[in-house]
Amino acid sequence: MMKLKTLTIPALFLSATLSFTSALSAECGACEAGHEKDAPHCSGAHASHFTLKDLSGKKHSLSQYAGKVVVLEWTNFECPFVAKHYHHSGNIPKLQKKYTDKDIVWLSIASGKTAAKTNSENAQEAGSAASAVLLDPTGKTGQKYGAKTTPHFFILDQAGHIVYEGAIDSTNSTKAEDIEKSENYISKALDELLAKKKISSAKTPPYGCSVKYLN
Amino acid sequence: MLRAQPDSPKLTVQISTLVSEKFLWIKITPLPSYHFYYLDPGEMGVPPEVQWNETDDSVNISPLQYPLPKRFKTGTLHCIGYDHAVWLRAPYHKKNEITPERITGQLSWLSCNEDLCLPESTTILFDLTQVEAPPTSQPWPQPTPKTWQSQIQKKPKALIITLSTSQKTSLLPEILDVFTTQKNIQDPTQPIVSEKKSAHETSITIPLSEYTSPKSFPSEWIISTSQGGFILPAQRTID
Repeated sequence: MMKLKTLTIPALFLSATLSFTSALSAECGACEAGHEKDAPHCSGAHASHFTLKDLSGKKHSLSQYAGKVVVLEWTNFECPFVAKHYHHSGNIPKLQKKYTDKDIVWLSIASGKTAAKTNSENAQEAGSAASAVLLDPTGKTGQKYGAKTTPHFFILDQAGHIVYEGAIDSTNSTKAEDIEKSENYISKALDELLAKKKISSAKTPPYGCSVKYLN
Repeated sequence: MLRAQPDSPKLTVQISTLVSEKFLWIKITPLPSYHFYYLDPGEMGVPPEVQWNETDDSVNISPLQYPLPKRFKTGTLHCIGYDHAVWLRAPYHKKNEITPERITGQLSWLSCNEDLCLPESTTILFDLTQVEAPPTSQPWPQPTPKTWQSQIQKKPKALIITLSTSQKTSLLPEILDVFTTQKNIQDPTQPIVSEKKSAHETSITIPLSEYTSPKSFPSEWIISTSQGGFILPAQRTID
């Protein structure tokens, strides 16, 4: 049985009961019981709260983005699977630019040992156009979400539900030339979410390097 | 045996090649602490692959074959692959009397250790005029003996393979592990459970990946036993 804890949080998150043991709270079960028609994006759990510092030391809390679509992207700029979509193609920066222009919040997160190696220089070198690059040196936020690989994506809807979890696209490789022939799950999910459609692929197998947790 | 000419001076594996009568052989020897991946790499990884250069259709080269892999963890992830020297092989067949003296290809692989992963590649060369004896140090999965019978039952989150022998004199070996040649079939985070019902019957429970669909069931199962690896062809599952 998962342990649940209720927090005091800003208005739009008042109804949310946040799980501090896992990003996948008991709410998920209720959605699976047959409420999909009423709430097309209620296929997932409420997202776990976090507060992390960005590369300039400024704090970002998930709750400050209440009411917005949020993309959480676990990253490691030294990982070749990440470089495929940054340095070698500009694929992720293009997505970041496209969707942050549509008022979507895009938070890249470096967890565990990777946090110490992530700085403004290598984010800039990668061409990052994220809303913020956040550092999670303890890895606790990554572990709450179950982030396994870099990259590994979680998309939260305006109500704070996780509506997509998984890979950036359909081709497990480090080769930039594979991007063109791949199905991009992130743009598909975000477009469906913005069009108020049900997310057609809510969960896909993530691929990439392992997240370098401390333990 | 030929040593590959590395495209990069910083390769984390050593590559050498050999031509036998039926196979093109590639030996991959990772440096200490590095590993590379099997066809089903587990929670992360990409298996080695070869992009063959043009052979003017006089030689037919089949897909790479992989020996029995092992399981290990990369960070917190459960992976399947090799942290030791192994031979991969590709069956080849001369379609014409006149064939090229050399076949070349681009071998690419992902090499990882606890801290980093490196995608690497090198040109490999096979001299068809230098046919040698195949390496014998490494056993290859064999077809299951004809005395074995098998049944595969589909459960909601697992497949159960039941192996039995029809002849009383034919005993089943100890089942050590099961692998698939496709990603996202079995759940690499869960152990495979083998239960010996008798000397002639064993059931193997294979936890299924949450990403498995019946359409994606593999064409074959590789069963690792105390007597080596066996290839169990795909068959209709029972619900």
